[in-house]
Amino acid sequence: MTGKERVKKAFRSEVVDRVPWVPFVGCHAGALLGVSAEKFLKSEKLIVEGVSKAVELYRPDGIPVAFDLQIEAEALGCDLVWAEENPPAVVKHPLMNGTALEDFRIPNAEDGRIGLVLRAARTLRSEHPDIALYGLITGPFTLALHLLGTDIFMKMFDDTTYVHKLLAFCKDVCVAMSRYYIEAGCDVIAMVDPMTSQIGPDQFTQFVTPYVTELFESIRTQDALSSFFVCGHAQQNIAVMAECKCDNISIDENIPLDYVRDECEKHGISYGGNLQLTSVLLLGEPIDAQKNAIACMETAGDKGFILAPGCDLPYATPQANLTAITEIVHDEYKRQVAAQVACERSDEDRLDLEEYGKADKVIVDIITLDSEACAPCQYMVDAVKRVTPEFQGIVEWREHKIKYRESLVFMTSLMVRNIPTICIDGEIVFVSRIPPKDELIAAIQKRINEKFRLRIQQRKASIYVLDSGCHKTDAMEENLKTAIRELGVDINVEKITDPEVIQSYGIATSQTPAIVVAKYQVKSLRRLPEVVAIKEWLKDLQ
Amino acid sequence: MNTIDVYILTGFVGAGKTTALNHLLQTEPLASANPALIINEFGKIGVDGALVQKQDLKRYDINKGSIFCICTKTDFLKALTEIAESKCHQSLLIEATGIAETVDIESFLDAPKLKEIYQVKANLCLVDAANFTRIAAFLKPAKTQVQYADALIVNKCDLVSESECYTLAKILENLNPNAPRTQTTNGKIDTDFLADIRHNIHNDKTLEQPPEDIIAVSISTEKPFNHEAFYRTLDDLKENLLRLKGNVNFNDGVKFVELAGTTITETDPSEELTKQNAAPTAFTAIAWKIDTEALKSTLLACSS
Repeated sequence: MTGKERVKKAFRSEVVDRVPWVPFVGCHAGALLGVSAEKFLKSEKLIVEGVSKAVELYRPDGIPVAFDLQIEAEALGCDLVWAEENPPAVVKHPLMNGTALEDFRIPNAEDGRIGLVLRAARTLRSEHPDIALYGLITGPFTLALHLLGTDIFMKMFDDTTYVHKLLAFCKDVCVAMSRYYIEAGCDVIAMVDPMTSQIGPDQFTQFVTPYVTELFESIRTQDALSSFFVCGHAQQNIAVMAECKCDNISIDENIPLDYVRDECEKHGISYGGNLQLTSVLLLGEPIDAQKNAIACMETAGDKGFILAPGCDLPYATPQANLTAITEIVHDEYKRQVAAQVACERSDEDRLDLEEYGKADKVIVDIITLDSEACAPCQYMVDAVKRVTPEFQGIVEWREHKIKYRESLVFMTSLMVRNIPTICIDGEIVFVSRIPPKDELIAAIQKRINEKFRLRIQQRKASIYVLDSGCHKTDAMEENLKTAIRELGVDINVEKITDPEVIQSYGIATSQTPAIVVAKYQVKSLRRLPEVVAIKEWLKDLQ
Repeated sequence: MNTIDVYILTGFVGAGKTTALNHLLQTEPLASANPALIINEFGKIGVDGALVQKQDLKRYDINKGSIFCICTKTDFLKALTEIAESKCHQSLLIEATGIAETVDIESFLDAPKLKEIYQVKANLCLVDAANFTRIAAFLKPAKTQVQYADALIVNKCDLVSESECYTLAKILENLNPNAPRTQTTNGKIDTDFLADIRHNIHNDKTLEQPPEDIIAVSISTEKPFNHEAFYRTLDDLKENLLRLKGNVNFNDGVKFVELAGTTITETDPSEELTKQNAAPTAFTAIAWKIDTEALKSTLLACSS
């Protein structure tokens, strides 16, 4: 199944072999090429190169040609201010600056940057025939705000007729733009209308529904698919959006995915979203991106869902965060691992393993998915199994299969994030790599030496001289002190004469003078050790 | 660790935010706390900036036309991080666009690492007395900005009648009963008023019921309205109706009716407006404490 087929099936709410993945790469493709957003969005050649680069890196099922909601506005005479890392912003609204609504003409396919974007779409179409190409158009309400500014909210009361005329014009622009994109080979028309999140369902029904419904109908008659993109706090409008007869609704993290799923299923349409753009994709780690993707996939199930970011990807989104998602989309096994890790819910579930590894034996933990089912896991377990006998009982190994909950808690407590991993005394040593025998032995030996050193440093001892008044005791005490002095060790000598205490050592007064040696070892300081850790110490005492 | 005190200014375009901002910058506690400035206005780069008097201020414009609130988040976090890292500001003033959700801005400040540095001192919402009820029916954030404010500054009271001002006070009281309110005619905020503001005051008293919504309905019909019955209905709805504007096709001719506060005017409609309207009756009413359907059917009941 090609990506294009997968996206199309998902749009029609049919079961697919795996979730379709559509990263909304906009100016982020500029970052992939090392050029500014401005340079990127103004060049046909760079758009083709950047999107192709994203296709190569992220192996998507679908991708937008250009994510820039100012293309139509610019062609209609809005002044733009460009930025290094953002799409441009509209800074002058023509209808507020002397242009009359009647002066506007529907942009033709060559106006402004429309021509270069369409040419880029054609090239991308021929270079990537198997990917669903998304043509992005600015929705009528957002385009109206570009043209008129926030005065539109005043005019909704003051001059309803004018607002309707403006929106009807913007809809005509949408219809023309969608036709251009479909002719250039796009499979999906994504109508992006984020500004609708600013109004309630009553106003939506009055000012948006009639126009977008007509637009989606026109897209349908051209045999293309339609998606309604919204972002922001738009939950109140999802139900009325779903009634506009689009094929798909795409949302961001401001709306719970399960809510959108239920609304869309009710209307028999598909939906997409809602990977978190800033906190996860931009600022998070690859594992966070995977967890977020898995949470979306689990909520969505196996049909009618497109995995996508909530909106245009930030310019500086780390590639690794997106490739991490690509991995779990394409690789069932990696998805399982990430899914297990994703089960980790809260910090309360973590064990405090600060004390782990203070037992006499060295403990080698192997964190696996399941060594019987996962080949790399099995090799790793075998590698450890082979070397431990060489340490003659000083080294103990255990496998933790994260399909079991307690193993998962153990894994997260040790901050392990990859499978399989070898930890030695609670420290991550080998990650996703089966160490050669010598290397593994060296690592374990290193830990043994370290422990030995620590033990010498940490242990303190007392020597008790049990005395019931025998004349030999003084000489005995003297000898002890001499020995201690000559060795230069810091050991306390204590004389015990209380017969009850002497008996508590299991020694009868008739057996005195006697010497008892007690060694102390600091096992824990200022914290509550976990039962697993205490058990290890107790084993040493037996 | 040095913390930075944050003052947030919200309100729709025309509510007097820039005047208030200039005023705040010149008064304590901000004047001596080397404030940084974040301006997030819709499609207005540089415009407000030119009006901001103290030119040596460190300023960050967050724009993108505010189209994607989430992308704005990225820029916000970037600016907040830069301001924190520069270590030379003890205060921060944020002028938010009229279409921003206050909760979003506060959540940006609550991000890991930033929340230890930034402390919101006050979230002030400027309310345009002349236009609030007109906007609030259509623009969601106009209401939520009031709801989440620590204090409300009602500007331009001189432009409206006393009764309108009174109704507005009732609406604001209903939306946010905890926030202290003050009136101003020029965006200047009394220092004593500022000193008493506490953050998150809207949590003080839990509302027993959600605030009354401000709604708008558009009526468009071919059927003529009974002149007398229409005005009787307007009078019956006087507790609810905030505004009404448009053409009404009375049995004795089409009239342009406008209601603002308690004043009703009836004039001959402009040809332009009559030509544009598909139906002879086309007006919009804004009301509160009544639901859309009830308002619609009550108004339509005067037509036959």
